[in-house]
Amino acid sequence: MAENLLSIKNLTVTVNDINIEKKLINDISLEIPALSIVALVGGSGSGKTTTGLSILRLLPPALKISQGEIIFSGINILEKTEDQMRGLRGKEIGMVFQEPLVAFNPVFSVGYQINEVLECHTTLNRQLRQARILDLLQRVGIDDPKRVAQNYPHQLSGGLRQRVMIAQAIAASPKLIIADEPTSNLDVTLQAKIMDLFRTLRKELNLSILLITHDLGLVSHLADQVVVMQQGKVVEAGATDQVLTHPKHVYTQQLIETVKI
Amino acid sequence: MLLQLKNIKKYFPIAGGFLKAPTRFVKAVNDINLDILAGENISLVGESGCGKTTLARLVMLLMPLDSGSIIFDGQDITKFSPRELRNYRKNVQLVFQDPYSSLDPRFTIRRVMKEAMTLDVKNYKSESDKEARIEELLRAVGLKAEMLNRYPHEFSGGERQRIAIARSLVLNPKLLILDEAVSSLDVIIQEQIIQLLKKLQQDFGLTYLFISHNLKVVRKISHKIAVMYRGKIVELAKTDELFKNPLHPYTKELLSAAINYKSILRDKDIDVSKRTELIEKIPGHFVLIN
Ligand SMILES: Nc1ncnc2c1ncn2[C@@H]1O[C@H](COP(=O)(O)OP(=O)(O)OP(=O)(O)O)[C@@H](O)[C@H]1O
Ligand SMILES: Nc1ncnc2c1ncn2[C@@H]1O[C@H](COP(=O)(O)OP(=O)(O)OP(=O)(O)O)[C@@H](O)[C@H]1O
Ligand SMILES: [Mg+2]
Ligand SMILES: [Mg+2]
Repeated sequence: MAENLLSIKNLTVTVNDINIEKKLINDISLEIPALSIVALVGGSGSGKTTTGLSILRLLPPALKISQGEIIFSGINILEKTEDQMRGLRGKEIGMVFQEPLVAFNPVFSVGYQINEVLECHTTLNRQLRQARILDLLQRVGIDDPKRVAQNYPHQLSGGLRQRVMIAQAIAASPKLIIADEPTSNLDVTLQAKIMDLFRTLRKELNLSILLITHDLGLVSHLADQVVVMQQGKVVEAGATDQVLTHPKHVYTQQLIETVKI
Repeated sequence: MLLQLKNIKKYFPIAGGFLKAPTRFVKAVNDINLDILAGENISLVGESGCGKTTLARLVMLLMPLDSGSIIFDGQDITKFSPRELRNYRKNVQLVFQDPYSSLDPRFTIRRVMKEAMTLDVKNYKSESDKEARIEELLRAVGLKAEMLNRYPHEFSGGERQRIAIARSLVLNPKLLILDEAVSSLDVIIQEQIIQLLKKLQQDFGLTYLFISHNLKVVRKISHKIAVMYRGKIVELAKTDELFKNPLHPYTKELLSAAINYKSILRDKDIDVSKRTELIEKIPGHFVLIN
């Protein structure tokens, strides 16, 4: 059996909501084998983003990891110092945030922000970095990369921002990408383009992907495995074909039925 | 006629360099004409970056038009007095593509909703009127009243999207523009929101301009579809007609991509830069031709 690139064991995340300890993530476990694409699906508010952010230790201050282990490439992420985490983020693990407008810094051009990632995590010189930025933007389906690189986040359309975010996440050739709703603002043609890109990168860079999405079409075309969450718990997990054709849990069945309407 | 866009244009300059006047522009909205009837449900679809959000922002008067005019209920909105403008902002609501940026981070959701209610003192006289309506709206979008004391950042992406939808309904608008408003929702909640919108249309004759990449949702919800491409509307028809009989090359490309789930390599660029006109090819079915 292939070794796991990432494994989450019995993770629990809590928040103090009006003095009541609430479990946003309740004892979940999931595994991402090397070179695989694992989809994380589930209802709005079920805890998908929280799971993704836990891996990068980017949870908002109010949220606490109260239990569990997150093992990435054999090391426990929860034992790392903040300094060590900074070396990991962007370099080893790339993140496509669900809300790009919030994730980008509003006062710098997006080209500048991709450049920062390259400067931090690669040995490329200035000229090569510039060429790389344009190449990255082209790979996510942007036909006027020069203009887009110069623009500030608010000057880009929703779909452009989303693709720039993907370009930034893959910039330093990470081993794992956590992609949180990466194609929610893209038309079908671009969605397909991004899927092709993910498949290519998996081969080129030995990349694994945690794909957080509500789009079961995307899941069926791209993911090797599916993990289904409901109210902070994993309710079903397995090979994509298996889960989509023979869903066991009521919630998964309900999801699949609704898609057919 | 509720809303009429007449030859509207918005170009954004591309910085040419320090101290140089821009010579190139992103033609985000390039001479668009569109009529929306009261009680109609019209969808706007098209490539990422083709100008959909810009069009919505122009209708909301969030930025000035370069040229053209926008007529709402028979009146030119660019010539409104401050009072008329306040009234307009009550009648026309936009659910932003990025809900986060439209919710004040300093306010709890209860405050966000109440703030919106201050524009309509007639309908919301007492605190209990307000509370009752807030809870009703929250329930309608699948959220719970106990969440009201939380701040925008204390929600999930899809929950924020639903808060934005609930808030847009507070003032009982005549025209509601929804910009990718269900894009971050799971199919079950998505279906609930679609049913809610349909019901509001039946009960109150609400008019929608629905911007979305999700053709499945668009097909379910809209009477008419306008297809936009590089700043222009290239095709406009009733929903069934458009899906059955797409005429413009871009529309054909879009619909076939949706079926195959494949990216399509364009063998020839689709050019809309020349002087072009929307022609009524079949009654009610318009297409842009050179
Ligand atoms: N500070 C907080 N206090 C209380 N609850 C919170 C807080 N932050 C997040 N939550 C709740 O945690 C739950 C999980 O949020 P999360 O963002 O992980 O959901 P999600 O699965 O990504 O949903 P979506 O598909 O809508 O993006 C949500 O129900 C949210 O309301
Ligand atoms: N304030 C601005 N300054 C400069 N360029 C802008 C500005 N706003 C939008 N643009 C550009 O105008 C074009 C149209 O943007 P718009 O947001 O209207 O597209 P859209 O159709 O909504 O796309 P998406 O589906 O990706 O959201 C894009 O190329 C965008 O980068
Ligand atoms: Mg989320
Ligand atoms: Mg947009």
